[in-house]
Amino acid sequence: MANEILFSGLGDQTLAEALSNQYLLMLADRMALPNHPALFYAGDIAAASSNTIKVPQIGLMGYDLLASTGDGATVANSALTDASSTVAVARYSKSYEASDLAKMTDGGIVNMQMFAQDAIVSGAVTLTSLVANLVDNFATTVGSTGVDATFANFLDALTALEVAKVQGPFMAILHPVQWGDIRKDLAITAGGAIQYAAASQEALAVRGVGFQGTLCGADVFTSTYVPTANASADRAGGVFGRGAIVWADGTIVNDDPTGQSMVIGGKILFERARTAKSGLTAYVSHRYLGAAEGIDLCGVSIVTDA
Amino acid sequence: MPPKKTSPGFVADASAPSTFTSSAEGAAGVSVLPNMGAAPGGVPLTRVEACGPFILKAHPARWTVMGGKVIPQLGRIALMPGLNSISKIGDRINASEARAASADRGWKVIPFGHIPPAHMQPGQEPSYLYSPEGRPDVTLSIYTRCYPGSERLDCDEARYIEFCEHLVSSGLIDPPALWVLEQLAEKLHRESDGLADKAREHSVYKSASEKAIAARDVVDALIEERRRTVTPSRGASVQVDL
Repeated sequence: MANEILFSGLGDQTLAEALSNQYLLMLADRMALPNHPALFYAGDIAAASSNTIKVPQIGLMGYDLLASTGDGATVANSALTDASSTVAVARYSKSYEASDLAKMTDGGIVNMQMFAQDAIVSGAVTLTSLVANLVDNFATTVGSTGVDATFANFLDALTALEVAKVQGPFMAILHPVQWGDIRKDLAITAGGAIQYAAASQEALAVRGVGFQGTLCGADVFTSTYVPTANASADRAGGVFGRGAIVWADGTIVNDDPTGQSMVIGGKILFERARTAKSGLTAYVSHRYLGAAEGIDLCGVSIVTDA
Repeated sequence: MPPKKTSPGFVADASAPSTFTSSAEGAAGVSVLPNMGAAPGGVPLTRVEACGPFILKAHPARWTVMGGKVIPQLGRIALMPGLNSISKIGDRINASEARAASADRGWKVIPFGHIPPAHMQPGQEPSYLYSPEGRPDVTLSIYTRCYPGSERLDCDEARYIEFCEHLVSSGLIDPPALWVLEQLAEKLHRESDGLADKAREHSVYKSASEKAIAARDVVDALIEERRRTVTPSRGASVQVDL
């Protein structure tokens, strides 16, 4: 036989590659922190006359006890203990720029809706990266250099917080390596009742990707933005209560007369900027955020092998 | 926000073009190596995540044991605008408020150039920070090793310990107080006892237990040495009027 129609001979009728109608997201840390009570929201700089918010810390409501005083004696004044933390809000922005040809041939990725969704996720994850970069700096530490994290380290951290009179609920932000070591330790050695409630699907939907569950009353989140310590010998996550980390943001003022921008949730500005002569369209997102350490004793760093 | 990650690529091969003639009658020319995205024999870049510069700092209560030595467990001020009141104007980073806030909490900032003379690179400004070749978006400590084509990071322990010892011997930071060592010893005793118990039942904990016991012994020996020289505080007797 001759003249069979084979796929190899249909070069003019077929494509080298066909694009799947679904896509895979490349690996990245997409953990966004929820409005957890352990994170202190210092406020919005909108109309505040400053990009910096000062959070006062005051020693009242039982900070100093009454002193036994003799009948008729004059009571001495108690000094008022106070301190403060400041958090400065800074601009965070990102831009993607696509040519007309790219948008024309786009199969559902290079378009405004996709970039707008990315702006929301990226804005939330940016806050996560700021908070994760603060948990390594508490003066109180548990764990040992070069030794894997254990459940005992986690308990030591909770005990240190309770000794320091920190009120729960606590939040733990650990590197996945640290959480993996603790989970393995639990699996190997746990006997008796351990109060660990793994994250259910419903909890993940509310608290986001990265929420691992609640362990002994502390909500555990993992993030790859947790920094290294000791010249990368270790990872330094942390457990903290309310007051350890303060954060602030700014509400967008959108007075763009061209109408080429939109404000998402009041906090993210997403704009489209066209460069006609180059046939390019930029999709730019902005968020205004800041985070800072608050009361040092409200947190404990967990420094364990990377 | 850490700088955006660049795609891993290759460092171009550094071979110089050479002149040649195409044939006896041909014109002279130079060899051309078109940029095909990967130079033959080029070294792949490290694939570690992008990370910005930072300032190291030491706290009197934070010490650890590494390589048989008690060294400060350094913290860092990540130089990210918006973090701890750090701001950026053009290329200039203003970290004055972050430094002041750290100092208020008892931290001692370590200047970039405060490294042992033997660790200084000839012809370069002394600094404990560096960027791997081809990755300007990555800033690491000079005691952190990264590898081509890999995300792996590890610590050059010997040189890092030298750096930490230099911080103390140069007088920038004080050696650990006796109470700090005692606190560290308590922590290590608890940890080593726990790991030793686990190692008896599960061999996977054996090496961690040995490491923790070795660290504990180092601190115990240092405390013993210190107690021979420490002078207790003096005071006056207290009388209570009953």
